[in-house]
Amino acid sequence: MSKKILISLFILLWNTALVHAEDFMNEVARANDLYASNNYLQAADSYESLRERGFNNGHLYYNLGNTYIRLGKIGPAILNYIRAQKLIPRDENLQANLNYAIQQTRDKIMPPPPDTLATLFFWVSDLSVNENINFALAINLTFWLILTAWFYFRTDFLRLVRNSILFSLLLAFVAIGVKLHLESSSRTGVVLAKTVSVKSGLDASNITLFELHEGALVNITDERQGWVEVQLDSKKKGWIPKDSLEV
Amino acid sequence: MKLFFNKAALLFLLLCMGLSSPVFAEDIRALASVDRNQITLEDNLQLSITIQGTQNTPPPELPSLPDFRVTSSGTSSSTQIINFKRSVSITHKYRLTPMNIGQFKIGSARIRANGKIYTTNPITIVVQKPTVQNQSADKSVFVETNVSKKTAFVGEQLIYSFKLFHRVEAKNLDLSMPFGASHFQKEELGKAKTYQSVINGIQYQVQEISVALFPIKPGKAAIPAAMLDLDIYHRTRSNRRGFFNDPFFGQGIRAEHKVLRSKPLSVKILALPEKNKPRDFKNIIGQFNIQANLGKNDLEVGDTTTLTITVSGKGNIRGVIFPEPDLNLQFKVYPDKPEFKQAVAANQITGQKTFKFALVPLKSGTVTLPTLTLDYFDPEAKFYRQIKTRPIILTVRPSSTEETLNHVQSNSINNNLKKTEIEILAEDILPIHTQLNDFQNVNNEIGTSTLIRFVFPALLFVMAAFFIRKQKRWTTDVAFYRNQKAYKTASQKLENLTRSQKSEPKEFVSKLSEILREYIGDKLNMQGKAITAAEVEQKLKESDYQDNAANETRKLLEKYEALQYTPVSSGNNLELLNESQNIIKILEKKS
Repeated sequence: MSKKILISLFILLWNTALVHAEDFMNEVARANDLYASNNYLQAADSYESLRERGFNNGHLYYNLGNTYIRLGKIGPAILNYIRAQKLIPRDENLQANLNYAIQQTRDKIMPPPPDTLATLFFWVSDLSVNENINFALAINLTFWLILTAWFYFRTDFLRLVRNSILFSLLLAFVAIGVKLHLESSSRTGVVLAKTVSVKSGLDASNITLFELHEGALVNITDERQGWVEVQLDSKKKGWIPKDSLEV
Repeated sequence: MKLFFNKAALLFLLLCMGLSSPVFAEDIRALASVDRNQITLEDNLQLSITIQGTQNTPPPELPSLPDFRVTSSGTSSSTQIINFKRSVSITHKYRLTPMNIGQFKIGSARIRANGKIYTTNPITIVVQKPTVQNQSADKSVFVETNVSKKTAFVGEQLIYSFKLFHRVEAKNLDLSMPFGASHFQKEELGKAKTYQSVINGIQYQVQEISVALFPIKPGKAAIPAAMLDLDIYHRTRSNRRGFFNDPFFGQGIRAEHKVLRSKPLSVKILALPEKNKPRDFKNIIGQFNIQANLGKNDLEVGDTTTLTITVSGKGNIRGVIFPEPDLNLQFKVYPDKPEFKQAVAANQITGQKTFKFALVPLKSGTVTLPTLTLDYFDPEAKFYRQIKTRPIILTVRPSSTEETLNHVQSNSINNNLKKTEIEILAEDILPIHTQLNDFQNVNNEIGTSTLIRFVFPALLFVMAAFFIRKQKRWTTDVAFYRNQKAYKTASQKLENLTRSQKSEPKEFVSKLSEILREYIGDKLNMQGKAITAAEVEQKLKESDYQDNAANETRKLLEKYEALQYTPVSSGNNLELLNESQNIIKILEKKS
């Protein structure tokens, strides 16, 4: 009896998940149609509603970025391209559109170049977190299969393969760590306000060091009392109100 | 001796702990000070904000200072230990450059420390005009700006120059040279020039930088004052004879930071005259020459020649454009990308712009290429001029061979096409993504399911390894094989025996005895048939079987022997069979 209840519950949950996925697909298709018929405002609302409902997808962010470009909102467009980049980092169209959007900004600030760690683990930036994990899972499965085979046929060749795959597995684990570290340590923010004055301290009465404009990409280094410390390079650093940008 | 060192080490440790302990006794204070209260527009002010009692504070939040340009000039910290009392402080220094004259108040700076806010004392500053002595009499250093013309036409080239005159060493120059971007377009004229100049009998080192300005609209255009920050070094001679008794070492150097401002300038910009203005005038202003050349004047149909038009002169030559010449369908025309070379001569932008058109004649005969004209406004003469190329005559002969013609034509046209770059007309974003299959929700979190997926292959491996190991042992370890197979074999034999209960009791008992002995033999990896009941008991005990089970086995075997050798067997087969099965089960459980 309890087995039947469990199976029914599983089928119910599975069907609910399928219905949700289908709902998402229908909404995406509707938003794409709105975009195609130049109803950009409604398309943006539709994409945004999906995002707010927890739908997380690189192509969704890419399409939303395109929609904002069409609406002339460069800041939100760049923000969504940057979000998409974390999920579909090798998408060439995304890179082209991001570059185009940055060229439309007044400050024309390109994303920061990779640091030493990212250069050392050069492949990590080209893979999303999930891809890094799936890659490690594949190597993990291969390793245990090879280990099983080696257990049965103890040949020198299999030992060499086993050791190579073990090394790759360890590297894949370190790569996941590096990816998570890079994702958490580098907080890139996008200025959404038309113009924002970068102050020397946490108060509007402080002196203005320089100005940033909509769409400027900044590195967030600190956050206090409704203000965030932003840094462009070793010389350009200061505080701006937190609500003038989004991460 | 060792005790002495121990005590000394303890004392040193206590001293260190005392020194490194927090300065709980010292109050935190914030002080602001300036190096002077009265300055001129040529001077800088050093504002120092000192925080006493701590060094771990964020930078001070300065008050709004719209009348000064504020630049940070570093931080210094200090630690003092007097009578075992430690006091610390940190000083943030700022350079304030006055922008206006008047009396100004530097408000309180705010410092956050230990969760409290400390403020500094306000300071009043008086900024005055530079004194007459500063401006003219003491002409060790001064600046000057000038513009080549006070009245100019829209689009006419003007030269705006900034000159620094100095008799003393000048370093760390930081020039701000606004030019009035709402009235002019600017073009750089290269690096600064350095030369000597004598003014009123005094020799100066001059550093001059110039830019070309092109007015963009008529009216009165103001060029704001340029501002130069610099450090100057005065050599002072002391009376004391210095090192090695050499007068060189008796000299001292005094550094001084200065801010020099030029006077603002104004230029009257005139609109271009409407009188005699050519139709479709392209706002080309200056003085120009035009020249046209043809690569070959004698060629065959399908052959290629290049028409080169060169415009040179001074002015906004970059804006000169020539459309593709209209050659009445007698030629195929392939325009090349114009080449522009700019030069600066006598502080004027001069240049040369070259237009190339590849011409492929389509008909034979003598052809005169039409003249090409350029209209421009000459600001010196204040009227419009037109310059034109000379007519060019060329002879086109019929093609000698059609095949060769095609070959040559093909190659030459391709060559010309290769030179022509694709013109980017506009840029746009790439389209949205419409493949619905790619719109799957992505979960980026590393959860339990991910960990299970990592651990699951390892668990499978452990199971597989256990299985493989067992398989290997079956094939290589005879004792293990016999041990594992013993129960199954014995059960099988007992079952067969059950089916044949009708056999003779003695024979039945003999077989039961044999099955039990073989079972024990398999279990203990020995020859079971030849062993006595007492030996079985002993071996079972040695193999960690319980004494009780060993005794029972011995008794059963003895019972078998007794039944086999008594003249008349009185045993019940079924009872014996059950007894045997039970003892095997007991032994199997204990094994």
